[in-house]
Amino acid sequence: METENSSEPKYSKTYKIDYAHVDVVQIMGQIQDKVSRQPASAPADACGASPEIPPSGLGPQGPVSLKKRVKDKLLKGLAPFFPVMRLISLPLHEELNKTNEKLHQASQRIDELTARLNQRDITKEYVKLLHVMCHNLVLELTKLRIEHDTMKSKVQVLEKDFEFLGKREKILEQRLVR
Amino acid sequence: MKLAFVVQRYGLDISGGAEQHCRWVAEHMAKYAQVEVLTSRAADYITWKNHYPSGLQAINGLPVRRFSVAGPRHPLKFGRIQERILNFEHTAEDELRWLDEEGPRSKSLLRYIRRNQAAYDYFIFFSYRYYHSYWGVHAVPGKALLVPTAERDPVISLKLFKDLFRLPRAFIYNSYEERDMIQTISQNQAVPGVVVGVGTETPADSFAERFRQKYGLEGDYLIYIGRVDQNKGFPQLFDYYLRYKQETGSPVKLVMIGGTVLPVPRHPDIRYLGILPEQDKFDGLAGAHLLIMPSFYESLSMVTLEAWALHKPVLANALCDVLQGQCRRSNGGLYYRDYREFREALSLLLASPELRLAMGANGRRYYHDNYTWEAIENKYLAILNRLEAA
Repeated sequence: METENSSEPKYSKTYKIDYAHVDVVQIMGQIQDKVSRQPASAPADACGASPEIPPSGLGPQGPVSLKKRVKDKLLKGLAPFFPVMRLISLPLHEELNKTNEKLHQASQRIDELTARLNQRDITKEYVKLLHVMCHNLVLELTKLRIEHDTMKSKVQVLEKDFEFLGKREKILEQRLVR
Repeated sequence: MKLAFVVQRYGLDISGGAEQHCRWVAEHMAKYAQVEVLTSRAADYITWKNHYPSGLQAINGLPVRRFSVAGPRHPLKFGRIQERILNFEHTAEDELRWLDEEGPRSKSLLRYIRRNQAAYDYFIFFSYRYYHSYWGVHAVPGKALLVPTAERDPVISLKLFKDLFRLPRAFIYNSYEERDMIQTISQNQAVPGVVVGVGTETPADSFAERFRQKYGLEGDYLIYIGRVDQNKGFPQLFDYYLRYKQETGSPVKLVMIGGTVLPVPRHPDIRYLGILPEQDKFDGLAGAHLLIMPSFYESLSMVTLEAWALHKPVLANALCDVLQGQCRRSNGGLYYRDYREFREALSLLLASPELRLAMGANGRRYYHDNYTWEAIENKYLAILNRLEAA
């Protein structure tokens, strides 16, 4: 479904393109020329003209903006003072390094403590498990005790039955002999 | 010839770029050599927690040996170490500590490689930045081929990688830009290397109408396929697209397919469809005017190749030098550095169906010459034969 605005074909005619041998570099050259000729219509356009910085800042550079030109000129003007500036900033740099070193040590200490905390957590879990095990053992022992008592009562009943049957046997024997 | 593919994670359910890349290449190379995969038991790349059972198993007919990861990664600790090594003076030990934390720390995998190196002709390591590649290449440098899958990521400039890049027997790069970046960093021009990338397959047929009906889409649309996050060029694309619509009054819609970690603006012309089946993705691509790739970091961009495979032009972020290089080499897409270039390039592409057709045809040719599986297999075979002959 390819629909076009009536103004769109005119638009593409502003570019010289050999459709049989499309050359992207040449088209991009024309686009960049056209863009550079256009006045920045809004403040946002001026921002748009400078390259957007990718999140990690390793991308290639874009067209030169006013901001960059001013920056370059200032850098040139300040160039003779760079050694002095470096000298002035040296104590600060050393301070930064020391702070960073302290931070690094603190990080290591945190890592160490985290590892110990993890170890403590594991020990705590073991203690909990032991508690549960003890509880289960007591429960089982109690059950066994009850079972034992029940068995004991059953044995007593059986003994009495046995005694009764013995007596009955004797009486029956006596009667038979008579 | 026996080849071992060594990668941080492996599985049919693992969707990471390098991992999928490794699986596909391994499965295709199995036609020409005896292939085995050596990997960790991890499924999650944040913690590397052991997930799969250890030992030998078969995945799509390939033997896969899994090795345990010694300990999970602590993201906070890792973040602190990375912060230090990227922003402050540090020692080589700090970098190795970072690598240990980066993981997946599988000493059993390294032990296996060292003990069984005679059983394999070559070890093909994927992703330079992980523990297995660094120590694996150190263990068998004479038999190691490294597929770095490197992006313009700050960690690439660490000293330990500068040394690593001079060690392997050969490199298999994803793009010319990746090769140039690694050579600039490490001056490793003496190590043989070849630019290969990865192949891609498109379905036999894709139906734009089916996609339009299924998702209720009408009118022209641009498509973005991939994750919606900051490194992928969001929310910048939202700003550019909405501003473009405001300024030009264009009715063109933006269709987005993939997962998201950022909020998508509520706008009637922005259609976020989430993660879709492969066939729907290709149907969507077939119906689009063009693919937009706003990403800042890409080592190859398979979706760009898929767009070209379907004769679709691409509008890419020029701040990603890989995407810009691919567009220039293929003559299959335009690129932008800022909003004004975005507006011009998009207007031109939307205004000229002839240009879209010509760029789509160029892209298709470029894909066919360089990224069909046949072309990829031949490049792998060529480098292996070259090493054998040396």
